[in-house]
Amino acid sequence: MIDTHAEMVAGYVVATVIYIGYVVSLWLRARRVRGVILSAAKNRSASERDPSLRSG
Amino acid sequence: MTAPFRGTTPQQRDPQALVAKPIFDWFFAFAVVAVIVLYVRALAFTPPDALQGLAQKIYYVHIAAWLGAYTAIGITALMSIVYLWLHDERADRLGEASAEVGLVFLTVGLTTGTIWAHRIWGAWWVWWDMRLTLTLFLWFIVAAYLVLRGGIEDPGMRGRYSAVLAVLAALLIPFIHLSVYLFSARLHPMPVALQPGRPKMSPEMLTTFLGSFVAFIILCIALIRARYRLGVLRDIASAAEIDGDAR
Repeated sequence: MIDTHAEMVAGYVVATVIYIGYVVSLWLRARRVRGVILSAAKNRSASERDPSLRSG
Repeated sequence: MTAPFRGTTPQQRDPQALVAKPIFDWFFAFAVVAVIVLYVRALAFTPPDALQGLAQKIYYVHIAAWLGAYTAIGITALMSIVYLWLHDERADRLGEASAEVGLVFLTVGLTTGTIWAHRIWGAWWVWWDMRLTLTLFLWFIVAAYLVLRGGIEDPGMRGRYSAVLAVLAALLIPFIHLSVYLFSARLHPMPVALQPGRPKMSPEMLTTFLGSFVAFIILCIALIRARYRLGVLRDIASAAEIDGDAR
C-alpha cells in the first residue's frame, strides 16, 4: 500500500474549506441585505412621520 | 409603489419579521452534524484501500459532491421548466439558489478529483478523459448561468434566458454519467459501488459510501434552503429600495 496520507488530508481540507467558505459568503450577503431592508424600513417610517422628507 | 412580490408571504414582506428569521435553520444544523458524522466514519472507522491507501477515502467526499451537484442542477432545470411554463418567481428563485449550490458542489468535485488524480493517475488533469472534460464544461455553463443572471436587470428576461441555459446544462449530466460507456478514451473507472449484483468494495466501505450520499444530499438541500431565503431577502430589499426611491 502506498503512502497517500497527505492527499487524503488535502482532499478533505479543500472540500471543507469550500463548503465553509460558501456558508460564510451566504451569511455575509444575508447580513448586508438585512441592513438594506432595515435601512429602507427606517427611512419609510421617518418619511411617514415627516411628509417633507418625501422626494418629489 | 411597487406591486407585491408573488411567492412571498405577508410575514416575509414585514421587514422586522424578515430580519429576525435566520437563513440557517435547524435543518442546516442537522446537515452539519450529518457531514461531521460522515467525516468521522470515513476517516476513523473505514478501512483504507489495499492499493491506493488513504487517498481512496477522498472517494467519500468526491462522489458525494457530484451527486449533490447533479441533484442541485437537476432542481435548477426542473424549476426552469416550471418557470417557463407558469412564470412563477418562486421557481426562478429556487432555480437560481440550486444553481449556485450546484456550482459549489461541482467545485468540490473537481478540486478533490484533481488532488486524488495527481497521486493515483500521476497527473492533475487529463484532457482526453471525457468525464473530466465534460464536467469542466458543466462547471462553465453553470457559472455562465449565474453571470448571465447578474447581467440582466429585467426579471422576466433574466428568468427566461437563464431558464433555457439551465435546461441545456442539465442535458449534459446524462452524457457525463454515461461517458465511461460511450468513450473508450478514459481514465475514470466503470461503476464500482453501484454495480449490479456485486459491488467491488467491502461492506464497511459501501456503508460509508452510501452514508456519504445521504449526508451530502442533506447538506445540498440545507444550502439550497438557505440560499433561497437569501434570494427572498434580496428581492424584498430591491423592492424596498425601489419603493423608497419612488417616495
